[in-house]
Amino acid sequence: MKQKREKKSKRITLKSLAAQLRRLPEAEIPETLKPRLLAAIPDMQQKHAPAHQFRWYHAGDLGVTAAAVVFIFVLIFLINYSLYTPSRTEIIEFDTSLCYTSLYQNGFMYDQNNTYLEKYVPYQLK
Amino acid sequence: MGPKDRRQTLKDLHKGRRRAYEEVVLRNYKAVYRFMVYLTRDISLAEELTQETFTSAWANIESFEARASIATWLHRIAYRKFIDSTRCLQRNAALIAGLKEENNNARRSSDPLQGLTADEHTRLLYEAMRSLKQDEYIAILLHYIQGLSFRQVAKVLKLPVGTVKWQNSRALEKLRQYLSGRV
Repeated sequence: MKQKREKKSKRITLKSLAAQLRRLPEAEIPETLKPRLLAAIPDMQQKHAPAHQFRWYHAGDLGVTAAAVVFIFVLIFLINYSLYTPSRTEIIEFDTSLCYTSLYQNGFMYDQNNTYLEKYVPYQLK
Repeated sequence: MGPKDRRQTLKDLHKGRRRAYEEVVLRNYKAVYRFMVYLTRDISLAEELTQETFTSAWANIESFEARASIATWLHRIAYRKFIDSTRCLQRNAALIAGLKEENNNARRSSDPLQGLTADEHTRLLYEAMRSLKQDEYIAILLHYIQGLSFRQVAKVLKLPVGTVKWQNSRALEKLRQYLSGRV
C-alpha cells in the first residue's frame, strides 16, 4: 500500500515536473532578429533551376547505367566474334604449313631426290 | 495548415520562391532562436547561429523533401550548427581560456535566461537542467520546451525513438532527484 502510494506520488511529481518544464518562461526575442533574418535571405530564383535539372538527371541514373552495361556487353560480343574467325583461319594455315614441313623433313611422303620442293622450304623450318 | 497548403508551400520552396521561405522564417524563427538560446546561453551567439540556420536551410532547400515537418528539419540544421560551433570553440580552447573570465562576466550580464531565474523554483529547475548530461539536456529541451514529439526529437538527433524516450525519462528522474533534495 505504502509502495503504491509512493509510486503514485512519484508519478505525479514527474508529471508536474514535465508541466513545469513546458511552462518555463520563453527567452526574449530581440526586435532586430526578424528584420535581420529576412534581410539575410538571398534571392535564389536562378540557383534553383539547375538544381531541378540535376535532380531530373539523377532520377534517370539507373536507366543510363543499365544502357551502358548493355552497350558494353554488346561491344564485347561483337569484338569477340569479329576477331575469332580470322584467328582460327590463321591457326589452320599455320598448322598446315607445319604439317607440310615436318612431313617433308622426315621424308615420309615426298621423294628425297625432288630438289624442287626443297628450294621452297624456309631455312628455319628445316 | 492543411496538407494541400503544405504541398503548395513545398512546391514554392523548391521553385526558390522567396515569399514562401519568408513565411517559413516568420513561423519558425522564435522557436529556433529559443532553442539556440537554451543551447548556447549567449544572445549574440544564439542570434548568429539562428541566422546561419536559416541561411543554410535556404541554400539547401531543394534537399527538404517533407519527410519530416519543416520545424523538425530546421531544428536538425540548428542542432548541427550548434555542434559545429562547439567544435570550433573547442579547437580554439587556448584562446578561449585566456578570455574565460571576461566571457563569464559578459555572459552573466547578458544571459538571456535571466528571466527564468526570477522565481526561486524556476531558478532551481533551471539549475537542475544545467546539471544534466548534454544528451539528456537536449532531449528534455527539444521535447518539453520546444514541444517536439519523441519521433521528431529522434529525427533531429538522428537517434532511435526508444533511446530518446529513455533519455527523457532518465533526465526527468534526475531532475526530480535534484529538486527533491532542495525544495
